[in-house]
Amino acid sequence: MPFRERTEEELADVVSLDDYLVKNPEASFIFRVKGDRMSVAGIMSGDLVIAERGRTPKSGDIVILYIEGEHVMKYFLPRGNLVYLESADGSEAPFILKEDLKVEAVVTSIVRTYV
Amino acid sequence: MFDFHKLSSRHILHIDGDSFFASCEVAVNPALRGKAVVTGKERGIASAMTYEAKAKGVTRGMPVFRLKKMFPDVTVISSDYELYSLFSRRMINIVRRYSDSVHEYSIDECFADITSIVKERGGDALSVARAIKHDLQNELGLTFSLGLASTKVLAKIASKTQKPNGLTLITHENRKEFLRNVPIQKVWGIGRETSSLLFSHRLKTALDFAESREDIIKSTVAKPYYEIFLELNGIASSISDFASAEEREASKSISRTRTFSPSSTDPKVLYSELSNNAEEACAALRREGLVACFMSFFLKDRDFRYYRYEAALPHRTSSPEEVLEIVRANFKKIYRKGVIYRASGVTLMNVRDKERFTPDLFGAYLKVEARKGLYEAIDALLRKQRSDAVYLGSSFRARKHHNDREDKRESFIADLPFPYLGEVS
Repeated sequence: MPFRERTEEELADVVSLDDYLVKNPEASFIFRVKGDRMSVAGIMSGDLVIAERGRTPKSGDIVILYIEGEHVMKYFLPRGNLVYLESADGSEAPFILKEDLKVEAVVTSIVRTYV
Repeated sequence: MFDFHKLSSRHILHIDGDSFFASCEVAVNPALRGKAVVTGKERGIASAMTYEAKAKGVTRGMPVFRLKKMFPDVTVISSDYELYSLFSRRMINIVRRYSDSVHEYSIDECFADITSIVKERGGDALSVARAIKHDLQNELGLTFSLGLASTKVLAKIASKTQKPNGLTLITHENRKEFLRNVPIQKVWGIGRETSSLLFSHRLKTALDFAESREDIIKSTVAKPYYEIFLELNGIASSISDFASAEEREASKSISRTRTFSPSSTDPKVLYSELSNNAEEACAALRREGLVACFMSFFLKDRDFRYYRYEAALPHRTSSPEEVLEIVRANFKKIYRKGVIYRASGVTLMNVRDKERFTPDLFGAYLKVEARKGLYEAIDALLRKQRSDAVYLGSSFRARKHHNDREDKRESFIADLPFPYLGEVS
C-alpha cells in the first residue's frame, strides 16, 4: 500500500514528548543531577530533573529541598503527623520536615540521553 | 447622580507582580531569598529591586557604583529579560485557566474579566481571586498583588492599595474610602498635564474628580478622561473592554529566535541566522494554515539591547523569500558595525487564516500562488524527512553552525521554556 500523507488534523492529534514529560508547564522547572546519591533510585549524575512547584507531594514522591545552600532530593514519607525525609541510599539518617524547611518542588520526570 | 442601572456588575481583576524582575531572580535562586537584590548591573543603574533593597533605601535609577558604596550588602545582578518574559508568559497562562478575557498590559501586569467563572462558582468573586493568587504564587514562587473591582481603573487602584502580596476588593459601597486616598496624578491614565489642570480646579484626589458634575466633566475634558471619570464611578467604559477572540487572533504572532554561540559581528553570519529564523517562522505558520500581514526582525547584542525593524508585508504570505526580501532591504538599518550580537529573531504578526485571504490589487498575489505549490512540496518533504532536508541557501551557515556546536546539549538547557534552577544531588 502506498504511503499516505497524514492530514494536518492527524498531526495535531499527536502528543509530544513535552506533553508526556511535563504535566504542568507553568509550574515546571529544571535541575541537573550532580553526584550518585540518588543512583539507588535510578537517578544518575548528569540526568535532567523536571520538577513541579506548588504540587502537593504524596507519600513516596521524590521531592527537592533547599538545605544549607544546596538543592537535594529526598523521599517524602508522611507517618502519622510527621513527614520523614529519607535519602535514597541510606547514607544519611531520615529527618523530619519542620516549619523552617519547605518542599521546593516535586520531581515529575527524569530525562537521560545516551548519545 | 448616576443612573443605578449603569453600574458595572462585572468582576475585573488587576494582577501585578511584586518587584517582578528582582522577584523572578529570587524565584530561580534560593540563595537570594530574603536578601536585598537589585537588577540592572549591565546598564550600570538599578532597574528593579526586592522589597528588602527598597527598605534599605535603594531606588530605581540609582547608579550601581554609588549604591554598592552606600549599601555594601546589596546583591547587584544583570537583568535576564528572557527569564522575565518566561515568567510573564506563565503568569498569563495561569490566569487564562480562569478567564478567556485576559488583557496583557505589560510584562508584569495583566487584567482579567472573571465574571463568568464567578457566576459558575456561586458568585464569590473574592474566592476566585484568592484561587488565582494561590496558583500564581505557588507555581511561580513569587508574590503578586491583586485588585478586584467592577472596572479596570478601579481594579488598578485596588491592587496598588496593598503591596506587596495584597488582595483588595473595591465595591460600589466602599469605593469612596479608597478614592479619597488616591492623589489625582496617581490615577491610571491621568498624566502630568491633565492632573495639573484638574489640580487648578481644586480636584486633588480621585474622589474629588469622581464627584464632579458629569455634565461639566463631559464638556471640559477629552473623551479618555471622561471615561476614566465614569470608571472611577463604577461604570465600565471602553477602557474596560477586552479584545474579542477575533481581535486576539489578529494580534497573534509567531516568532522564531535563537541565541548563537559564539556571538558575532559578521553581517554574513547574522543574515544567515535571520534567514534561518524566517524560514522556521514561516514553516510554523504554514503548519497552522496561516498567513501573516506584518513582520519584525531583530538583533540582540551582548548587553541585551534589541535592534528591531518592523514592516508591513506587501500582502499576506507565509513564504520566507518574501519575509527575507524585507530583512535584506532593511538589515543595514539595525546592523551596527563592531557591535557583538548574540541572538536574532523574526516575528510574523497579524496572523490570519489562509481561507480569509484577500489578494492585493497589484498582482503580487499571482507570484504567491506560483510559489504555493513549491512550499506545499517542501512541507511534505520536511514532514517525511529530517526537518532540515530542504532549506534556503541563505540559511546554510546558521544551520551548519547549529549542527557543529559542541556545547549543543548545555545550550539546549538554556533554550528550554523551563527555568534552570541549577544542580541537585
